[in-house]
Amino acid sequence: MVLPKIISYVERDSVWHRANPCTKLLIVTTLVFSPWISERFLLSALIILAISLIMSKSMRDLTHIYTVILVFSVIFLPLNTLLYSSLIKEKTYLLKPWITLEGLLLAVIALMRIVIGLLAIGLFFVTTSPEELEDFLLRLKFPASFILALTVSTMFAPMLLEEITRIKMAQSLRGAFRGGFINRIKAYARVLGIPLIVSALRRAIRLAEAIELWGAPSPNRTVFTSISFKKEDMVLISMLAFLVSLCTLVPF
Amino acid sequence: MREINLGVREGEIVLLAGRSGSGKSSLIRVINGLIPFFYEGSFAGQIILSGEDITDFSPRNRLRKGIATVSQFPEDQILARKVWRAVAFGLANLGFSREEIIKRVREALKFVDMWEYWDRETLSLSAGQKQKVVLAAALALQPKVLLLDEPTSQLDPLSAQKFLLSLSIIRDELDVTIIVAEHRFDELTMIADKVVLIENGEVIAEGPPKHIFASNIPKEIGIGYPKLAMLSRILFSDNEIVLSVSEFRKKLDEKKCKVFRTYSVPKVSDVLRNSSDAVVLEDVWFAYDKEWILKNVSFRIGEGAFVAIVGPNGAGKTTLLKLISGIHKPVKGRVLIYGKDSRKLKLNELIGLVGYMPQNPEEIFFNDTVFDEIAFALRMQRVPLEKIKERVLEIAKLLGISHLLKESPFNISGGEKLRVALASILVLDPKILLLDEPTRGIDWNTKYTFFSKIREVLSSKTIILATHDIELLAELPIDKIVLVSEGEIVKEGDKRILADSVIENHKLVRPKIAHLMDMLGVRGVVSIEEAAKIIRCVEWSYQR
Repeated sequence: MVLPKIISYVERDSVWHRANPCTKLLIVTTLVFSPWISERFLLSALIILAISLIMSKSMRDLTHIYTVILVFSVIFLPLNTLLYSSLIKEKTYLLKPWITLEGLLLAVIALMRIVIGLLAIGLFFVTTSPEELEDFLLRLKFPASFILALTVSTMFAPMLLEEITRIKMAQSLRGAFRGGFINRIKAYARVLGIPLIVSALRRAIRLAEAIELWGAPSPNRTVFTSISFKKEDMVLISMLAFLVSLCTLVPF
Repeated sequence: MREINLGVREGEIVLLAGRSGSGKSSLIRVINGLIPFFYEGSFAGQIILSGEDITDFSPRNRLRKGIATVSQFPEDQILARKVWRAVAFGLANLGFSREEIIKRVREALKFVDMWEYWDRETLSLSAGQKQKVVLAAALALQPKVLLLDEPTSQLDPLSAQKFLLSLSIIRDELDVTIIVAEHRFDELTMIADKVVLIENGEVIAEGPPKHIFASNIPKEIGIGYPKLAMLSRILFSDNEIVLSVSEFRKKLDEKKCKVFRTYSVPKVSDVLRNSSDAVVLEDVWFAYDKEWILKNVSFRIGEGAFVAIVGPNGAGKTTLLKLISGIHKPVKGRVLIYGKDSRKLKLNELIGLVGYMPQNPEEIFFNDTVFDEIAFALRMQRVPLEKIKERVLEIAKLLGISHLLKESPFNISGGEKLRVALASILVLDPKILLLDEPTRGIDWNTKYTFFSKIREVLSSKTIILATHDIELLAELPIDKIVLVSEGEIVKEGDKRILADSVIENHKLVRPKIAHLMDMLGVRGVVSIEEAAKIIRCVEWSYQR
């Protein structure tokens, strides 16, 4: 259940937390896409990300993303190094004939681009409350049913986890998970999967009932938070503009 | 449902009573428009609200007209992360202005006494608080009619009692008509103007509570009676039903009934005194996410005993069962199952030693037929086919479900599901049976019959039941009660604990009979059967 934790908001008092979702989205989009333009922009993105992380006071809230990055690095760094080493023409061998210095550098750069993107997206979610996000999407005229689905899915993940624990315990004592590895995998799919699907379907029906009974999804829903540009937004946008201009204009 | 003709006056509180699956929820869905707009089917007839025909109105339009609903599962009705957002949800969907919404949310939260939680996360609330939030969300809509579908089935007794008693305040102060489907009659019969009995989708009787519970119809359809009504039916003539403790006392004086104060309550059962230990917990501590869920828990359960672990929601009852199951291990202390430390017991050793039945029996079903469901555990043990068949038939006969063997376990009644789930566990003949509140939200007769059957057919097994259903426990042959609150053992002993005032310090409510007997000067009496032995009335005796 890493996914719901990655995207869960952590309440803190920081420039990033107080900033408008629009501003944050602008920075995150820049961080996700600009590193792919050139190495120069990769550097600016790295600096922006580092400053953002410090300003957001959210370094610790991204622990689960670090885990994802670690797993990703372990799998893709060696594979990419091998791939780039075989493709590139200039070859300074580190381990003949498999690994070259150029290949390794390219693999690290590719990894950096992905890491920056992951951290930027994570930063957006840990500093933006679901309510802010909901109102932001409503203002952007996203379909009401999509916004509702987003809210509901983040709320019900913990309940699903609790259900899995309960079902697993009851079925274990019925001897459901005995036997070899393959048998256990099969048992998980059947013994855990079917009750979970049934339970999720029943819950989905109850949720759909509740949605109807509360008059949702409504295209004319009242939006609570207003989008206004504050001091924090000016600070963040200025930082972004300054660092991007610096990397574009100054030769190095 | 067919031929429902029902009129409800403005400002009335109407109790819809009937067995589980009788059609109470369907009737509520007809009124709020889920039938036929959400649940399709053949629909005929008219729904009139204050003189206006609203039959063709969708649920949203009926909400606009003032029909709000509170359902059985509060967590599924809360569609926002923050309390105030959850309360504002319906209003926002109807397009009310921000200022109006904020004003109404504040009023509604203050009304249900939840204002101090306005900015809390809904996931952090208890079931009772969640239900209050849903109620506030409904009240914020300023409804004309409030529909409640078993609103207390997930709440602990004190929250449930407070919730139900608050309905009369809502009716009186906010001028709301209330229609409530419930299995808890004790509180509602004191405030309801009318009871409507539903059976097989038809209204079979309606009238004032005293009139309805003076008749034999509730008994015939198997829904039971309020506890004091049950006792008054035994002690007085059938048409003299009493529903409150104070009224009961007056009636006893009127009838010149005698109370035999010398009656001695049976003491610790033989099972507890003479048995060896099945389960022993020694200074057990358990934590989730660095928070202690159980603290310094120690008690023992004798072999063959029927033990209830009692406590409010979140007290640690389910965690205790998880530890006794041996699947989860304590952080500190020891759990001994038949003398063996649970840390040293492997899963293979636990299978056939302990059986666990979750809150929702459906959670263990995954086969196409009841036969396969019961046979599953034996197949996993590689028992020969002939023996499997023999054992399944034997256990099905024992629990009275032989006629269901070819049915799908998902398509049978609530009571039958309970028995099928039990059979699926008992087929391995476990020595210890753990029941995690499996009868939550089920009508009185079904749950009483279920537990009576369990005790009857499983007299040699150790049964550990986690529950907060005090009224049910009062009537069951329980050997021992362990009262748990905030992860600690508060008290343990025999059934008389239920009559102890300590119960009320832990979000539980003493049985109605215990209240009455306390007023009559006899302490420790909790069941109707015992009370009827103690009170003797001249003109109408229970012995008749």
